[in-house]
Amino acid sequence: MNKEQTHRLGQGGAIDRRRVLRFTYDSVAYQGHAGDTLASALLANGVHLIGRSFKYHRPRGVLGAGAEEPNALVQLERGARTEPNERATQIMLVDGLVANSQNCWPSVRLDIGALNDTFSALFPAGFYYKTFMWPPGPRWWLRYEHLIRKAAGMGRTADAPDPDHYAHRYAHCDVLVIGAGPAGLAAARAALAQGARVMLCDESASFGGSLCTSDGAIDGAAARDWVARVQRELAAHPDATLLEHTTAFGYYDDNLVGLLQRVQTAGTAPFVPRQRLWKVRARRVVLASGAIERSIAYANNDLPGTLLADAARIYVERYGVRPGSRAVVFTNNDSAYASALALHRAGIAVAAVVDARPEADLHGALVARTREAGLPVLAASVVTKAHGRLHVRGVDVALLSRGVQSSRHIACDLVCVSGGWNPAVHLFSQARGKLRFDANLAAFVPDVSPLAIVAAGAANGRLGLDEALAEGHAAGSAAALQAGCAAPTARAMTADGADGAVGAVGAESTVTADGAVSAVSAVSTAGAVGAEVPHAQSLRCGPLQPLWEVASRDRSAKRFVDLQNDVTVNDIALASREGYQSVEHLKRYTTLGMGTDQGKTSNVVGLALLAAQLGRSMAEVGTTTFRPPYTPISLGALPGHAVGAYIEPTRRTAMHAWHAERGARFVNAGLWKRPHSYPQPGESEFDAANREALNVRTQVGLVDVSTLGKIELQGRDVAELLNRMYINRWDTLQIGRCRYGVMLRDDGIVLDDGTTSRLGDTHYLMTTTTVNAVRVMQQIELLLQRDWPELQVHATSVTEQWAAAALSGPNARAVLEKIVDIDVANAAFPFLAVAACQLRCESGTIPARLFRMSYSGENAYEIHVPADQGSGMWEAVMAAGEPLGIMPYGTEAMGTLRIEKGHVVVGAEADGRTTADDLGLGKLVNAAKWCIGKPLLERPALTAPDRWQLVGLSALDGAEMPRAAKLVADPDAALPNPMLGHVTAWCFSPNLKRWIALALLANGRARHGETLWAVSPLAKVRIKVRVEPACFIDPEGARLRV
Amino acid sequence: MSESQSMDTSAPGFPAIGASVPGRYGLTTGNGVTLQDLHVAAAWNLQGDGSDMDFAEQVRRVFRVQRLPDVHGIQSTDRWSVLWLGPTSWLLMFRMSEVTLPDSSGTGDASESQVGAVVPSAAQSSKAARTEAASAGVTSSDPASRGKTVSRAHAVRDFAASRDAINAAGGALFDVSASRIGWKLAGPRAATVLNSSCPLDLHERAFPVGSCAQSLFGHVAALLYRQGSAEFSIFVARSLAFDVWQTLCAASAEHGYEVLAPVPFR
Repeated sequence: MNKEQTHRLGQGGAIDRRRVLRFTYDSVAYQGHAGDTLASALLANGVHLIGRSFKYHRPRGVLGAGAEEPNALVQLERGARTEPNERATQIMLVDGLVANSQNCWPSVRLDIGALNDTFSALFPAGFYYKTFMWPPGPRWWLRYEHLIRKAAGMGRTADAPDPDHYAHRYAHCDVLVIGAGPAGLAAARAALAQGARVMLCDESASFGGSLCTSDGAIDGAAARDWVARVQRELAAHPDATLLEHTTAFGYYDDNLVGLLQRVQTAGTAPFVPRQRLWKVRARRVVLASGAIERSIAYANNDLPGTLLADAARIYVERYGVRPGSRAVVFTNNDSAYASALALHRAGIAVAAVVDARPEADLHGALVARTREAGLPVLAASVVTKAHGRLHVRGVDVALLSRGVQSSRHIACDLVCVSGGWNPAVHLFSQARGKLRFDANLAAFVPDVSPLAIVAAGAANGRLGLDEALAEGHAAGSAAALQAGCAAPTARAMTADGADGAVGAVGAESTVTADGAVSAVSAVSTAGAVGAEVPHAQSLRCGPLQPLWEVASRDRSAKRFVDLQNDVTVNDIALASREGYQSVEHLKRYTTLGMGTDQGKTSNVVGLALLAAQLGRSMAEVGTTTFRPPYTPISLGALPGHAVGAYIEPTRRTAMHAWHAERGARFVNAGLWKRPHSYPQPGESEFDAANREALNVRTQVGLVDVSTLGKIELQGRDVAELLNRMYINRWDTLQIGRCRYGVMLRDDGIVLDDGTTSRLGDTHYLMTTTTVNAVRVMQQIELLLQRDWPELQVHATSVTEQWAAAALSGPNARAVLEKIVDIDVANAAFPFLAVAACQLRCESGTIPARLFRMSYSGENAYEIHVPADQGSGMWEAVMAAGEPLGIMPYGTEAMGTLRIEKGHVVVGAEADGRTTADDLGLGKLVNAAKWCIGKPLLERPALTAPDRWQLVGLSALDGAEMPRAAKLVADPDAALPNPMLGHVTAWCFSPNLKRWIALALLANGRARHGETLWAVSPLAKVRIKVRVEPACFIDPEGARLRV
Repeated sequence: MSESQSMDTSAPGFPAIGASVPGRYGLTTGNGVTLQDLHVAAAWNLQGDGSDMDFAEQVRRVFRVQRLPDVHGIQSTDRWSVLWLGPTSWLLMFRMSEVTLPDSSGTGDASESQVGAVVPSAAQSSKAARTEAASAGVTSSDPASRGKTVSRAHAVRDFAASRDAINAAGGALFDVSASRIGWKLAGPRAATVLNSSCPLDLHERAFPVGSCAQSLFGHVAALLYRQGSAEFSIFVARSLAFDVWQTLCAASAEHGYEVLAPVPFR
C-alpha cells in the first residue's frame, strides 16, 4: 500500500493498484494509480481544494466526476504543452503529469483575490456593466476589460507552438451510439445484431457509464461483468468501432457528428496523435449520453468537500477513494440513497441522509435498504448552510416545516448533494431537437428532432436501469432498421471480405497510461451478437420533489447556482427585478451557464429560480440554446495536420527544385510558389530583378510559366465556342498559329486574358492567367453543359500536364536553334507560330510544343513539355543558353518587362471594374459577332468620356515612384482632393533608368503629355509624373517580329 | 536519407516522418501500411457520349474496351484500365504488363523519381532531377528506366492516331499522362490512412474492390481506385504531390509504414 495515498480505500475500484503513477499538483508530488483521473488521484491524497472561483476567488474543490465538473479546472502541463481549463475529472493520470491550479495568487490556500469575496456586496450581477460604463464609448471598456480578464484569470495559453500533433479521421456508420452506459451498450449490440455498421463512443476512459458503479444485475450477471461481456462481443465484430475517451462534441447538418478522442494525455508517445478529431457521418444517431446530476442552492454549497452524490459514489466504487470520513447526504430523490449505501459499505460514516421529501414519499427500495443498514434518514429536512473555511466542517439541518429556526448542526467533512437529474440533451438540442419539460423529473427531456437522432435511456429521462436497457435496445434496433439494415446476419462477411474489413473499421490503436501503444485488433469471427433485450431487475422508486434553493438565516451567505461563473440565487433574483426576464437575457446579464461547462450542473436550477421569480412555469421559461462544443476541445484538434507549412496546400512546378537550388526567392501566386528573383550572393532582390530584366532586353532570359492555366479543347465547334467567349474573332485562326484574346464577364467587365493556339483541325490549347485557371475552366464547363449543349466541344485542364518556360530576348532564337529539331528562322516560324518539336536534352529528346509569343516584348518563345520532363527541358535550355548569356528570371523581372511594354495584368489593371476599351484593347472587340458581355458594353456608364483609361507614367526629377499612389492635379488642393486616377503597377525600369508606372486615369488617353502628381498620403510621398502612352519600349512591336 | 533530413517536415503539430526512399518509418511496433510510387506510362482522358453508337464503337475498336464503365466503375483490358470520372469522361490508364520496371532496390535513384522531382529542397541535387527526367524520358539512355521507356514510347506512338479516331467519332482524347502523381497504399491500415484526410466511405460495401472515385485528400482533389480489399491507388495533381506525400506519411506514421520501391501501374 502506498503511504502517500492517505484517502485510498483498502480495496475496490477499477484501478490498477500495482501500477503507481507519480504526478505533481501545484508543485507538490503525489502518487496515484493507473486508472485514476487527476481528480480521483488528488482526492486519494486528501486534496479537495483545487482552485479558486472565477469572480469571488472562493476556495473550490471537485464537485463531479465527469464532463459536468464546474470547479476542478486546472492548468495542465507546462511550457508549450500547457493547456488551461482542463477538467481534472476527465484527465487520465499518466506518470509524470504536471498540473497547476488556476485563478489564484500567490497560492490556492492564500489567495489575494479572495478579497473580492469579502467585498462581494460591491459585485452584484451585472457589476461590470454597471461600473465600467463611464466614460462612455468602447475605448475605455476595452481597457477595463483587459484588467478584468487578468483579475478573473482563466488560465494561461501556451506561448510556444504546441509540440503535439493532432490527427483527423473521417468515418461512416449506419448507427452512431453516443454514450456507452446501459442504454448505449444495449443500442449498439441491438443495431449490430441487425447487420448495421455501428460506432460507439463514450467520453470516459472506459465503457459502462452508470454500470461501473451499479450493484444491479443484468441478465443474471453482475452489471460490470455484463459490460465487459458486451464490450468483448462488440469489439470482436468487424462492423463495430468502439471509441473510449471520446466526446461527441458537436452535431452538424445531415448527421455529421464531431468526436474528439483523447488518445493520450500529453503527446509523449511518438508518432501517436495526442487527440483525434473524428468526423462521423451517421445514417442514424442514438443519443445515450445519460443524465447529469444537479446541485441544490443552499448557503456555502460551494465549499470543498461538497460532491454531487453520484460523483461521491463513483469516487468510492470506481476509484477506491475515500472522499471523506463522515458524510451528510442531502437529496430530494431516491438516487442519492445508493451513494449513502456505497459510502457506508466503504466504511465511511453517514451522519445523516437529509431528504427534503415528506415521509410519505420515502417508500423506495433504496430508502428501505438505507434504513435497514441503520443509517439515519431525516425526512422533510434540508441542509440550510455549510460551515468551514477551506473545507466543509459541518452543516446546519432544518425541518422544512419549521424553517431555519429548527436548525441543528451536524459535523461532517463530506456533503453529498443530489437535486435530481438533467438528461444530457445537449447534442439533441444541437440537432435542432425540441425539448419538453417533464414535471416528474423536473427536467427538460428530448421531444422531437428534424434530424435522424433519437435519445434513449437516462438521456431520454429513463433513469431506471431496466427501462434504460429496454429503451436502448429498442432505439438501436429501430435505428438500424431505419438505416436500411433489415435482417440479422443478412450481410455476414464472406471469406473474401473478412480480410478487408480489418482495415476499414474496428481495429484501433490505444495508448495505455504510460504511453505504450498497443494495437487492439478487431479481427475475429463476425459472430452473431445477441439480439435479445437485456433485462435488469427494476427498483421501486419514490417520486422526486423539485427543490432548487434553500433559504438561509445568514443573508450574506452565498447560495451558488453556477459554480464556475459564481452566479448566486440572489444574482438571478436581482437580474429578474432589473428586467432581465428572458432566459437569454438572464444568461448574458448574470453569465449563468456561460462558463466552459456551459452550465451543465446549473442551467436548469437557474431557469427554475427565474421561473419562480416570474411566477411562470418552467416550460414557459424555456432553455437557452445549446451550442457545440459539448465540452471544450483543444484548438490543435481543429486543424489536425493542416498546420504550419501545411495550413493550405502548396503547388510547386516541375522546376521548383532547380529554382530553390539557385537561391530563388519564392512568391505566392494563389497556391503556387513562383520564383520572385534569383539574387546572387550579396545581391538584393531589387538589384537581382533589375539585372534579370535588363538581361532579357540585352541577351536572353528564361522564366517558369508553368503556373499559367492551360485548357485543351477538342471538337467540331471549338472555334464557335471561342468566338462566343472571347471579344475577338477565332474562326479565322489557322492551324499552327496562336492569338491573344480577352474574355468578359456577363456585365462587360474584363474577366481574363490569354492566348489560344490551334494545334490541329479541331484541337486547340487555351491559356489563362494563373489566378483564373480554375474559374475559366468552370466557366467553359458551365457553358457547355448548361447553355450550349449543342456545341460539340470537349475540354480538360492540362495545367498539370505541361511544364512551361518562356525564353525571351534577342538571343532567344540562337538558344533555341541549338536544341530543337525544327527550323525556327523568322520566315519558317514567325511571330505567333505554333509547332510540335523535339527538344534535345542530356539524356535524349523530349517532345515539346513551341509557341512564338511574347510577354516581355522581346522575340520570345514558350516551350511546353510534359511536366515529368520539365526539369530536363529547363536544364537543356539553360545549358544551351549559357554561352549566349542566359539568366533565369522571376516574376519581379517579368513584371518590370510587362510594365515597360504596358501589358495588362488581371488583378492589377483588369481589376474587376475595367472594360477592354479602358485597357486600350477596345479595338479587339469584333463588331461583327456576339460574345459574352458584349451587349452590356453599350451601357452609358461603360462608354462615358471620363472612364479611367490605361496610361503610362514616368517619374520626373529622378524621383522614386511611391508604393500605391493616387493621381491628382494639385497635391495642395483642399481636401477632399479630387482623385483623377491611381497607379496600378510601378517599377524601376533598368532599361529606361527611371521609375515608371502604369495607371488608370480619367480620360487618360487624351492626357498624354500632361504633368500630374502621384501622391501617397499614407507614405507622405508626392512626386511629379508625366502621363505617357502605356508602352515605354518598342511601341511598334518590331522586336517581336525580327 | 539525406533528402528527408533536410526537408522542413518537422513543423510543430506535424509528426516526424520519413522520406520517399524505401525503408520503415513511424511507429516501430506497427506495420500498418506500405506506400509506393506508382509509375504511370500513359494516362489519357477520354470524353464523349457513351450512349452514342459511333463513339462506343470507336472506343471498342481503338482500345478494345467492350463497355465503358458506369458510375464509379472500372473496366480493364490487358492494356488499359478505364476509370469512370464523370458522365462523359473516363481516364484510360496504361497497364504496364508486357514490360516491367527493373528491380530498383539498391539503386536508390529510381525510388527518388516521382516525389523527388517536386521536393523543394536545396539538398535535392540536380542529379535526382536528371534521374527523374531520364526515368520518364521517351528515348532514355538510362538502363534503369528502360522498362518504363518502352511502355511509354509504345503508348505515345499510339496517341495521335487514337485521338484522331476518337475525334472522328465526336469524342475527345487528351494526354494527361504527366498530370497526376500516384501512390499505391496497401495493408490493413490503408483505408484508415486514406480516411485521415479523405471523406469517402471506404468500407468495402460502400466502395468495393474495382471502384474509383474523385474525392478530396485534405484540401487536394484526389482520384482513388480500390484494387484490392486492402489495396488502393491514389492520384493527385503533380504540383501538389509533395504536400500530399508528406500528409500521407504523417497519417501513416502512427501505424508504422514502409516505403517500398516504385511499381508500375497495372
